[in-house]
Amino acid sequence: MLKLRNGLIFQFVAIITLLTNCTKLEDKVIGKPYDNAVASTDCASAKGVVTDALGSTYARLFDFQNQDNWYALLEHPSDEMMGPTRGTDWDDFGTWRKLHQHTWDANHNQVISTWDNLNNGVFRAKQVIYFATPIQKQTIGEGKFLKAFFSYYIVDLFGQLPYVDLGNTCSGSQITSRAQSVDTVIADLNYEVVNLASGSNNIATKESAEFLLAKTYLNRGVFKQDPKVAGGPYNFPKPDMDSVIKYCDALINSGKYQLTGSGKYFDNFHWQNDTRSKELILVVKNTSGSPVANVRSRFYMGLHYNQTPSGWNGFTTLADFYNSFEPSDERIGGPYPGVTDKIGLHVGFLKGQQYDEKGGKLFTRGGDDLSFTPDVSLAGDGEEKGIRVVKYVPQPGNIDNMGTDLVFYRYADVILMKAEAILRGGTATNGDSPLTLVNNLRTIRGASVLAAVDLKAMLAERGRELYYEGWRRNDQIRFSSFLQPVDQRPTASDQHLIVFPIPQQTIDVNPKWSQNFGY
Amino acid sequence: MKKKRPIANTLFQFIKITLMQLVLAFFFSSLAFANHTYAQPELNQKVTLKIENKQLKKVLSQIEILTNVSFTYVPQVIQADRKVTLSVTDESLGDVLQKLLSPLKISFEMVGKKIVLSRIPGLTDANPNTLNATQTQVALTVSGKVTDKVDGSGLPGVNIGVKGTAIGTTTGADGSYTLNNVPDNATLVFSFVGYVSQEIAVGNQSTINIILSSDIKTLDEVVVIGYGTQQKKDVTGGVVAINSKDFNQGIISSPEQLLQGRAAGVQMTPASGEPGAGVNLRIRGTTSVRSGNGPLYVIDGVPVSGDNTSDAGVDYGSGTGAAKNPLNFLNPQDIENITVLKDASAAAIYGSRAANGVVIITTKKGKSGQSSLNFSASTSFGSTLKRYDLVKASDYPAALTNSGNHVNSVTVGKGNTDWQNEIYRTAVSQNYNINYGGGNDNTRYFMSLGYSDQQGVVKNTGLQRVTGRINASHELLNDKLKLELQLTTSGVHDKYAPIGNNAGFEGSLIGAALQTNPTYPVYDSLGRYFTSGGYDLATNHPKSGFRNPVAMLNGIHDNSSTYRTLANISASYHILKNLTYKLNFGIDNSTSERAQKIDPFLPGYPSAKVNNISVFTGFNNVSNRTTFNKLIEHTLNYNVKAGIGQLDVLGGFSYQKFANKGHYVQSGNFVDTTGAVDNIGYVDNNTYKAFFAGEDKSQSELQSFFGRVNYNISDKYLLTATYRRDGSSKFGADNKYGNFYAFAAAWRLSNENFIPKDIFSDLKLRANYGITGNQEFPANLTQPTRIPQPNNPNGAANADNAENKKLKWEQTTQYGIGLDFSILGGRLSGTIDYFNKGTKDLLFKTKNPISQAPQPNIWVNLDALVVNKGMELSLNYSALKGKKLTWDISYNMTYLKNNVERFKGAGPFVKTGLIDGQGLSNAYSQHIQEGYPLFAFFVPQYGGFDANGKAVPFSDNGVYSGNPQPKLSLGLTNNFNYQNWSLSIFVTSSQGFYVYNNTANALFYKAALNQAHNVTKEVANSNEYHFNAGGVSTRFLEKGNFIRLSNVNLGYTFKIPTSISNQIKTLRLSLTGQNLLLITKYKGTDPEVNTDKNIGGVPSLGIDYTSYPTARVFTLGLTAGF
Repeated sequence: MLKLRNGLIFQFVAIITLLTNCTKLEDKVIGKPYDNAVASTDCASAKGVVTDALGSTYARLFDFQNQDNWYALLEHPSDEMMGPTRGTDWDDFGTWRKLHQHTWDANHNQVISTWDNLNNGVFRAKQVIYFATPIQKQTIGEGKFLKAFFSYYIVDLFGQLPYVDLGNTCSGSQITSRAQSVDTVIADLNYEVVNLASGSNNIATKESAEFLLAKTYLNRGVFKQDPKVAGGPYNFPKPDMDSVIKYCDALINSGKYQLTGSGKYFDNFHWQNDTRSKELILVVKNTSGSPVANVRSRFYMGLHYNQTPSGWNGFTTLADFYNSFEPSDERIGGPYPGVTDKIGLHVGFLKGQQYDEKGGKLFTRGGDDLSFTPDVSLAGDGEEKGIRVVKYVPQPGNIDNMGTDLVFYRYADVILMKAEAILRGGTATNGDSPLTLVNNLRTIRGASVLAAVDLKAMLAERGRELYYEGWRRNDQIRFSSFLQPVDQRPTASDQHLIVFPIPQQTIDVNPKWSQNFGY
Repeated sequence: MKKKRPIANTLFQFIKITLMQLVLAFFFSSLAFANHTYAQPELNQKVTLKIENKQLKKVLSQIEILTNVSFTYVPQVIQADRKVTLSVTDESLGDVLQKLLSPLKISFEMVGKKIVLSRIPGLTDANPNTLNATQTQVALTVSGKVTDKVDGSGLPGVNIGVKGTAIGTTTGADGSYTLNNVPDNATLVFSFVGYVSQEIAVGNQSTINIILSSDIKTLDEVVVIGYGTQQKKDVTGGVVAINSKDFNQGIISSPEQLLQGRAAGVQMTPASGEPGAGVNLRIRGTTSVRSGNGPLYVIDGVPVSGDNTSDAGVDYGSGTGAAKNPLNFLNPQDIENITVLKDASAAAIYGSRAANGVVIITTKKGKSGQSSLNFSASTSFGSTLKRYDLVKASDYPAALTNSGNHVNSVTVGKGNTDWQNEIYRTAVSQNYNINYGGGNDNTRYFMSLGYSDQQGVVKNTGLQRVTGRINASHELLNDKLKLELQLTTSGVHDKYAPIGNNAGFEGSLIGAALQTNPTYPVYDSLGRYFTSGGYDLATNHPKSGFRNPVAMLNGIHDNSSTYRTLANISASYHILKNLTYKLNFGIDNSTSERAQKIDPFLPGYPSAKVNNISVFTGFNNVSNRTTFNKLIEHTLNYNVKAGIGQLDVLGGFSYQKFANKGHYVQSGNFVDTTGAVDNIGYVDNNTYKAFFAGEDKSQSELQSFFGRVNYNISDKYLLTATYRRDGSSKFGADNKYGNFYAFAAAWRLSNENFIPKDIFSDLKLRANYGITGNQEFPANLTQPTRIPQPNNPNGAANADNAENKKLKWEQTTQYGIGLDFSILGGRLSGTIDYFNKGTKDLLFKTKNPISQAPQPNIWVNLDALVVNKGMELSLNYSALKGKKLTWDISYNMTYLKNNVERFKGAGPFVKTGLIDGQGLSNAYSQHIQEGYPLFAFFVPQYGGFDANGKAVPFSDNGVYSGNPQPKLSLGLTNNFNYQNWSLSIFVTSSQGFYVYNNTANALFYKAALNQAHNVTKEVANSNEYHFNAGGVSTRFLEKGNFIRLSNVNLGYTFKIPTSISNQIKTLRLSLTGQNLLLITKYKGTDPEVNTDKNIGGVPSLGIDYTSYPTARVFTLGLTAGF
């Protein structure tokens, strides 16, 4: 009996011992895709994304709908937007304040996230190009456009552009200067103007490439500027301006576009803008009800809590910017049928007492009249201070996931770019002059005709037409007003602030980087 | 609406329970019966013994273990080495002693609690050697008195022997003695259990009076170390052992709480006061940044994974919840001892997992011979230790007008509600335990069953736990083979309230209760939950924003259940007398499920989205987590006399595999919008995608070779060398194996002749140096991986992590010196240690250096160095050692300095310490930065108000403002015993640290009144300008210094009447108070708090955000032994 028991115990020990054998300690990846290809030397082969590289590259454009990141960098430092702190609200660690007051640094969170998003967009676009076969000219063209699209923003915002050769190991990363990068952008765009067809405005087309070429040539003088004197004055060579005019004319003469008629300015931003507007050259296509349809943040960011929709009571415009409008200018906004009667809200600029749909006064959370005032202090103020802007028209009943297309490139900008290029020395075509082009637009928008157009008037007109569409910083730099004091930024800024810094983390992990001049 | 449970009711319940215990106790005891009665109850104890040819002294010590008596004798006098054989079953101790001792001509006598053995006069069994020796000497008669040093009373039962002879006697009841036949050159040895022995040369004295002092700490204490045990006197490294008698009492949900404040160098900060909340246990400071900072836990020889066993839960709009402490599965009452290996030399045997120290938990084992049955039952009453002093409804209108706001129908409602009262309660908890242990020479067993139902002071929260344990051992093959089993299984059921770590401006439950207007009622006139925005007339759905705390409590259902089994079986075989092989096989398996449900149309949760699910019509999440850990270990132990010393050698191989997986299903858009959602599938899939799901899993392996050599030269010089080679599947291909080693040396000065023994009963100098590692990081970081994103409409998987074949462990190099001493005849003993730890190769997730690469992130070993330096002091002092009254004091103190000396490759600093609240997006408070302590507070400097109450403008950028890690931590215990009474008072204190009061930052300043929110009276009465921004600044950074009356335990042990002493051995009642008093200037509820405010996985420290409040708990307990 004892022997039997001992025998069994011996067996047990032996079996357990056998369970122990040396392991190779392989780090098995379970439950998630493993990038075989990336483990090899080929940096580009990120399996999975490649099957829909183009789709995932376009998907990055959805990020643009939010009120932060690149949109914030493009707007807050300008004279048309700021994010005041209101008691307990919107301090947000000074994020918005620093942008408006030009006190950002290389650790600013919006700077970092914008850098990451844009570079990710460039990478995805490069994958599209890399994996397309040479005969897939449409795919390559779209890839190149998207690469140029994201690169343009990097050049505009950050100056230097990283360059990674996808055919080699990822370590072959190079950095190109702002002056070099702008020509890379132009080269990519030239390819696709030739190879891309016209098409629907939510994908890269010949027209979107022409628009971006015009935009790039218009700003080329800024981008080519010596970074040490980034603030200008800039030189806009005549050939660049002629190129702007050439690409604008291509769009004008295509016959595809037309300014929306009198009284219909806000059709461009209506939830049916895909059918109501013929101005839209490049958009993010939104489908009603889709969770990624998120243009709502463009009005949520300013609307008060007690308005409908209940907003975030955040960003406002500046009094001086508001005052640049004539009362007759329809772009300043007002009651809007189908909206004001349903939810009480006006479109455009919201100033003074706010009402609900029945005409009843709205109140602040403290029970006072909700009456938006032009004056607002950036560092801390009441919740009713500051004029709000509703450019995208809220669709009553479907506010959160509207089918409104988000506008990137708009035909009115083409008209204004052409006018500016002529004003800056380009050769006029089609008998157009800056004055005729601007006055034609102003007339349609219900504004009085101007007697003359100079650079100052040109900048003001661009502001009135394109406010809150992401161009103001870019325009102000080109017109040399970006560094000048505005409300809540009383002193002139140093010229190194023309570009944002490369994020400090990026510099710390890769010694090839050098920080932008002045940071 | 809800009925309050009257206290009387609860009390009645307690009495009922207590009575039940007593009835049960008598029932059990009546099963036994007596057959022979002695006058002394001790001699009536029943004993079962089976002895074959064992030494008498061993038999006597076995009887000591079986019973509560102790023997006192001179071994030479009774010839204790004689071998005896005896077999008795259930006989009284008196009868057994009679049977055992009378054949040996030894008499026994009860003196106090001791049984004094002496040779029966005249019946001397002559020992030829000693007799010969005495015959050649001139014989003297010596007499005198032995007294106690403390109170001078006579000590009965003291052994007095002539050194080197069998001559001896014992003192009588008054401590006096007379010893005949003493040779004139003799040395007398006075010895008494629990006292320091003394030797006196007789010379020609005929009267020798002796004062004995008590031996507080017996140095023969055995401490548990990695892969074995060691006598305390031989320990060379920094080891602190806390035994069950020194554990914290009262409501204890996790093992760490047992030693909170009790050990120098071990700092435990609870995340909050929530029952079973996670803890932050730091041994000699914080070393890592990204990867696990906690120690390695080894439970009965099985290293357990640091992974969470339950899910943290998803953020449905009240912030992310924290996972509970994974060690809650252990029944604290099953724990015999917790040993903390603090320095590298002690911990290096655990190699790549030892850098943050090792906590070894040993559970109770059965003892041979004695079967004992123990019951314990307790009932606790807990209430919030501190609440915020908020503006009352009656004062609210005045508070509004004083701050420039208006009284109107929006700002002042018709109610009068103390919202803190609405969510807090008196928590009634119960705890029952029964254990049974015993065995014989070959087989020992211990089993226990525990049930605890711990209510939280926040309504609807709590922790229920059922545990079962079986520990058994069996020796066979002539004791050559020993089999051991430890098995515990438990079920823990947690109930959560919506209290998240990072709730936004609407607040978690506590945030909502603190900020909700006191003039708002709980229910509106129609009996619905009141909301400030009212209800939509058409749909009767609540309009936006406002969170009614009572609605949150009742409408959010969040429960989890975790079932865990930890078992190991081991076999040790004595191949040779001094060579032992041991096989240890263990498994640790847990499964858990968490279910979170939000009722449809709950006010305040109208448009929150979870992964794009609109939760307007309810939300439901079910998540599961399974962990599995398998261990196989082989060890060989060899000890031999080598040269001038004794050599102990340990060698081993260990293989461990860890697996962890979790998955979840979420749904929203519930069809049934009228009632609570209690079925995850009852959804409308048409409008939006109603279901979302996800899964994560990982596994890792660890393979190790280890060895340790202890060399003891004449008990004076002790040397230890330790080595472990750890291979981990988590390491990169180029760095699969790491080597870890340590050396330690100790010099027992007290064994040197030049150290006066009358001053030092122990004096030991220790020094150590070693290298340990940390590999508590997730698997698969060395490889390019993607994150599956099933809920992202734009892509199935995003590239996440770039490859790093060089990725390896974090490495900590530690050195230290220490001194153990015992003076005043052992009445004062203590330990002083200095340590210096440097941690490099910090595991960190950084940006991929390639800005345009598929993977945005890469894990690297940073070129960084974190240094922790410190001093530890612990003292034990026996202040009073009277017969009736004893007073023991123990004290521990830790001084710690933490500094990041180098931090390169991850930016100028890394931010963490997220600050949440309205208008605080992107706000944070802490940096990890070169030249500063880890988690240093970097916030703008606040300059106060100007004459108009306007905040003096401060810069947007933070400057170094304080350290969240205490400079100094203290623990002070006073134990009193007076006859049957015992009283233990435990005070803890931490000094020199800061706490960021995120609660105040989010809620308490004038502008909150502008939104018709409530604030503290202090804020309402201040002259602050009502539009002041509430940015992060030193305004909300407060000193955390505190003194806490942490644990007070008053106990009464009943004198068991002789008539029933056969049935019941012990009966004890105790009253415990936890957190009785907190002295601090901190304005939050408790400065010992650590809300998880990590940013991107970089942990934070010392931030308080609407934390679950600490409870003050009174526990009435009863224990009975049979």
